[in-house]
Amino acid sequence: MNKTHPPRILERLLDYILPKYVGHTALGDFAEDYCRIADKRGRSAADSWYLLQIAKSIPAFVINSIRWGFVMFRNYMKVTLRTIRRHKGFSFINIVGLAVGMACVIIIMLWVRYELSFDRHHQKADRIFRVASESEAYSPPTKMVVTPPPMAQALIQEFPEIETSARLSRGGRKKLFSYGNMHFYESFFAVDPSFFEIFTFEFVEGDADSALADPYSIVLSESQARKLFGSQNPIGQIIQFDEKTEFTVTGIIKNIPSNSHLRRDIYIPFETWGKLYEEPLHAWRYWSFYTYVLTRPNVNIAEIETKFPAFAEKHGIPKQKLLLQPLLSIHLHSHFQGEISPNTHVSTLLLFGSIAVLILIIACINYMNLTTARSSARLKEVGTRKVVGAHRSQISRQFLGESIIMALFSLIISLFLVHLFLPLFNSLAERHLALNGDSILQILPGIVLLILFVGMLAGSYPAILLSSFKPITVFRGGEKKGSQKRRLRNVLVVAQFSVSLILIIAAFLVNNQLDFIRIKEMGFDRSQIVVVPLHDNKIRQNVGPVLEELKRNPQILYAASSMHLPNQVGASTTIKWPGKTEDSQIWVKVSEVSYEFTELYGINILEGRSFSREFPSDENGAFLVNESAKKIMGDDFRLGIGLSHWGRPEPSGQIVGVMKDFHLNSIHEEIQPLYIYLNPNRGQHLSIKIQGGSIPDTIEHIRETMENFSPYYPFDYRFFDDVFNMAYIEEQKMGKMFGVFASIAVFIACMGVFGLSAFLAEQKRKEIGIRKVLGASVSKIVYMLSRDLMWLVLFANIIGWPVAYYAMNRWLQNFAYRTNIHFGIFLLSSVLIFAISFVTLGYQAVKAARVNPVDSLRYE
Amino acid sequence: MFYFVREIIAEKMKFLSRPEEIILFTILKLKEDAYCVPIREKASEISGKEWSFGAVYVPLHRLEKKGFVKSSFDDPTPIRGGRSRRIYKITAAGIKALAEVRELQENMWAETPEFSHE
Repeated sequence: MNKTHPPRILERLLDYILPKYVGHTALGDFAEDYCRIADKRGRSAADSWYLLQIAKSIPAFVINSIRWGFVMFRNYMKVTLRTIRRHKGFSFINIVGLAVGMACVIIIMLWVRYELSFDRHHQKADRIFRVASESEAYSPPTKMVVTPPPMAQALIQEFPEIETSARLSRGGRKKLFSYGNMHFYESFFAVDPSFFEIFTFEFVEGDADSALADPYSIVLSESQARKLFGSQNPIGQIIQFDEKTEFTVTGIIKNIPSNSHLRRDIYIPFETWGKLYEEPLHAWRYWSFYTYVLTRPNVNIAEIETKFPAFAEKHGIPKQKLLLQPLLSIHLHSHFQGEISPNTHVSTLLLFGSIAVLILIIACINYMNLTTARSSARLKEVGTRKVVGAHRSQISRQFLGESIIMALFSLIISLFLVHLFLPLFNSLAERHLALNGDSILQILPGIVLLILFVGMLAGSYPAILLSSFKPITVFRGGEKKGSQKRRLRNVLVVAQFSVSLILIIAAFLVNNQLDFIRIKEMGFDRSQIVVVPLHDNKIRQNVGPVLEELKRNPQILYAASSMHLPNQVGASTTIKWPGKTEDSQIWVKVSEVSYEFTELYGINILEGRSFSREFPSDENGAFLVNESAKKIMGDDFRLGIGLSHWGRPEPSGQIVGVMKDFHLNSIHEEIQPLYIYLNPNRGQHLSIKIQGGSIPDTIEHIRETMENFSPYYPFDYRFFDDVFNMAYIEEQKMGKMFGVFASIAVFIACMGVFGLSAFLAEQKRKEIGIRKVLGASVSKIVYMLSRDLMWLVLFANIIGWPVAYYAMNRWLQNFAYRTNIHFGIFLLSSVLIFAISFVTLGYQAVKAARVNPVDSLRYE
Repeated sequence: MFYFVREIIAEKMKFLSRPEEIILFTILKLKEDAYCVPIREKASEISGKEWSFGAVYVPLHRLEKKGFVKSSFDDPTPIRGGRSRRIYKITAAGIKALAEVRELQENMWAETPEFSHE
């Protein structure tokens, strides 16, 4: 007989399946038969026989173990229910703690599922890309998602891989739409007709192919149509756009789901819009539109991207490195300048995911501590089971099963909690999460894993500990109080409190950083400024009289028009100055403003002067540059030199002054070079600085003035403060959510301490009685009871501080401008933790210390 | 008290299940060298249907627990991958149990008229 051996991997598998009582000889039996068959019929036949044997052997073993398993399970279930009923308080702490922890995890799961679902409803989603670019002309290089208008067509013509493309514009800001007596400002998208071919929008009326074919057609969402026309047939209705254009409704689309990065209720043709607003639709240097492309199936994106440098060179935009962003990655991975809707950072999801898991772990620690602390109550049960013949593994399986049953109970409660608190989370995070059959089904694997995770984690230590009791010691005189057992419990308590402390410190610091942003010297003034959008072209082109009229009111200090507000300077262009080498294009940020702009916003002038009516030459063209721009110009810079912009060959005016740097965009970004040009007649906004007195009266004056000059357009205004805060809304949401989660963590940890101290007080009942009889005061006993746990909390502080410091330091690196980490925050958090834990502990301790010794000692 | 409970359980388990009976009978027939490989072959031969190893181990294990067979290990051989064989021997109690089964069967058939089946 040949000495062939069954494959190792199959033997391992078999060894794993075989019940332990069969032992290693069984492998030998299989090996022997394997050998014989291999001899007779060859190796592969033997291999398949071996596999078949494994498959055949499984049922006999499984059925056997299931039958007995079921009998035992009924018993375990009964014991578990009995334990829950007998120790209501502890079970309550366990179940509620686990339920809250699980609810946090489930909410985060729902959230993650939602964030991952963005834009997936578009049928061709995997073939849709957005063109973005990384501009090396800026320092530092800037990533942006806007593109010049002719690019979309050029891409189709020059790249056979690209099936079609569409341009999209947000049209600057909300525009006036009217229908009958209804006038409203609404945001919209101006898109090419191919937009509806690339993306999947469900048409209720009209169809995707022809909806925007006519230059004066308009597509509305269902809800918008209902708002305007009620139950009338919307098709063919005429909607007035701005003052002079009429659009005919040709299509109604289903409302767009909230998990879409492209959401508007109104769509108009791109070309028509461009003509109306005299946009330079053939300019390759005018970067302010979005380009989406649909590739042909199975094309290699990397290959297309390698051809981009030549493409950019050909069209005279050599310093722009073009990229294709997959549609599905936009929401979570694209954080460029000019995003259409606020995207979610993956790191935010990870952050809250880990916080939820930490909360769950804290709850699991509660379970472990409370279960093992009360282990003496289960000693006799374990002893009896062992005497009757239970194996150690069976006992530990019993306790694991018990914790899984607890986890199941908690799951039911946690689903209820999720249902209750999801609306709160939705308003905090501004999401539309729902707990329904559909979403539960999608996170079902997650929930099953959650149960197993909780059951295994919470049950592991009790299972190991309780199954290790020796029946003989149990029945002879009770378990000796092992110091090892207490040590591990202490470690767990310390871990719990360290995590809570870290979360509290983090919550404080996050909110600190947000306050820092709110009050940071942005370089411009934010208070008491009213912003009025200029909807009317007539005013825009001749804004002088309006400004004069406004200033007639003594409460109005300054009034100015500007292309941008100082915190959202969006446009950029190239500039030239005498002495600049021709070959390098320098891109800088640009805005055009009227007189009084710098005074109104309190922007400091470091050199020279601001625009002034006292210098009539300013009318012929004047520039202000910021410090960063001055730095770029280097030695060439002098006050009074001419500057040419928007790609013009001749200088358009001279530099009259240098502004102190102010933040042009989010505080996350570094300040970029900027110039502003005196040109009151290209303003998009009026800014009006008002002083004390009655603000409503002043606003009334502004309203009257605006309505006088442009009667067609309803008055519309906002405070600059609000506009400014809008930009940091994501961070503020995050700060609030962080606070909520940190509080939950502390709450659960305290529940654990509450339970533990109740147990300790119960255990020391007699000791307390005797001490009191011998003359101990209540405060002495409270001290005695709380001393140990307070040491642990102190210890947690020592561990928590450096970890929190390190973690928060890393987080703050994300900001270009950040607050200092104050020692005070650490101190405050520690004091808070101490106070909260002392109150919970103290309650139990005082209760125990005030018991009349007669009650606790009467059986002695 | 626990001893008492054990007695009751043990008493209940003295009955032989059908697979147990066949395996026990096979061991009896094999006399010497009754370990899993020949037991499986012989059992398949007697009952006329294929027995998987799994179907052999479980009854063997129970038989041993009930004290009808006892097992010992011999020296490991290379053909078994260095593992020893577990040789089963029927005990006196095992023989008695088989005899009881046979007696029961014969008693039952004794009073039954002859019949033939296809």
